[in-house]
Amino acid sequence: MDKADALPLLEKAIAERPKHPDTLTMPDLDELQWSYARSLADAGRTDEALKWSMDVIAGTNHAIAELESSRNNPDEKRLAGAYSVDAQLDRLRERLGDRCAEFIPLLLKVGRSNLALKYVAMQERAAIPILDRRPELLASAAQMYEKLGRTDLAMDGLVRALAARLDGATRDAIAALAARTGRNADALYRRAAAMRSKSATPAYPFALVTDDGKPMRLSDLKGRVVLVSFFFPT
Amino acid sequence: MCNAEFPRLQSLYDKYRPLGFDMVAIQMDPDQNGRVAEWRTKGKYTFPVLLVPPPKGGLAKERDYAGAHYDVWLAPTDLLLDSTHKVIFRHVGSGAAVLEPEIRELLGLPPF
Repeated sequence: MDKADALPLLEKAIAERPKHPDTLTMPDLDELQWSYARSLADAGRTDEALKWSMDVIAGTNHAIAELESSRNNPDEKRLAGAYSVDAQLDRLRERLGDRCAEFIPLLLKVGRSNLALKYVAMQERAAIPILDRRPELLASAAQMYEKLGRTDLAMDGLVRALAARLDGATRDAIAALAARTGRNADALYRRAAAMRSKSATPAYPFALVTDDGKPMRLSDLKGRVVLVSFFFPT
Repeated sequence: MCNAEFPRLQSLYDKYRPLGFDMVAIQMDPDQNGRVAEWRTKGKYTFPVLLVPPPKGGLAKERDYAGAHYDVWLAPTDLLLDSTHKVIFRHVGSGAAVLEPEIRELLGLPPF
């Protein structure tokens, strides 16, 4: 199929999609809209492609913000179960990250470097909390920063990501970038550690009873690193 | 499922306890206290298990204590505290794999 032929088909699909709100076998409306933006770019209709892409990405951001606010509402947590909300958030953040990663090269192609930087930052923010595809999306954001001549921002982003979670891939990315730019990786690791400890808040000092009837307080574990794991026996 | 993770948490407990690490498991639902003994025997768990007081009402019972004090609403959730007992890392879902690098860092051990 010729790329330009995709446009009328996608237009039709976008118009039809809201009439079938419950159909799980069909792509989501925003996925169709994103395909449409991509087809516009392929067809050389760059201005329209830019506009569509920005609109779809703004919509994805909006959906994430809504879910985040529902997640932070205790009643919602109780009723809906934050688990499914977390899974949805992960999926939307991945989508946002992927869309930014795809959109940035188009912005570079038309010379919109400043706007591209904004979307790299967005990709990075989307990637930091997600579980599976985090290293890949973070690495591609760092690469884009470098391409835009901003190794400083690439490094800041990686350090922030390491402060959020100590995964080996992020640590390695910092080491590699530090080697290329003549910086000291250990100092950067320490900066990440300082960032995380600065933003950390004291844990509630529990005073409870163990299952074999002994009283136990958090302060009994003074000076120890402690994992508090919440569970149900069934 | 939350219990699938405990054998791995037990091995983290065994491995890092001599190096300054401790672990407690907080049982979130006061109605299930009678099941803890069997759960512990079956899994051969040696870390302390803490029971929460009965709910004061308001929120759903099993989330009363954990939700009110730790903003924890679901099992499994893991909170990792540094040696000054600040919450350094929070993880919802099965966490042993992501926890180990964090534990090593907090204990001042080299990364893998």
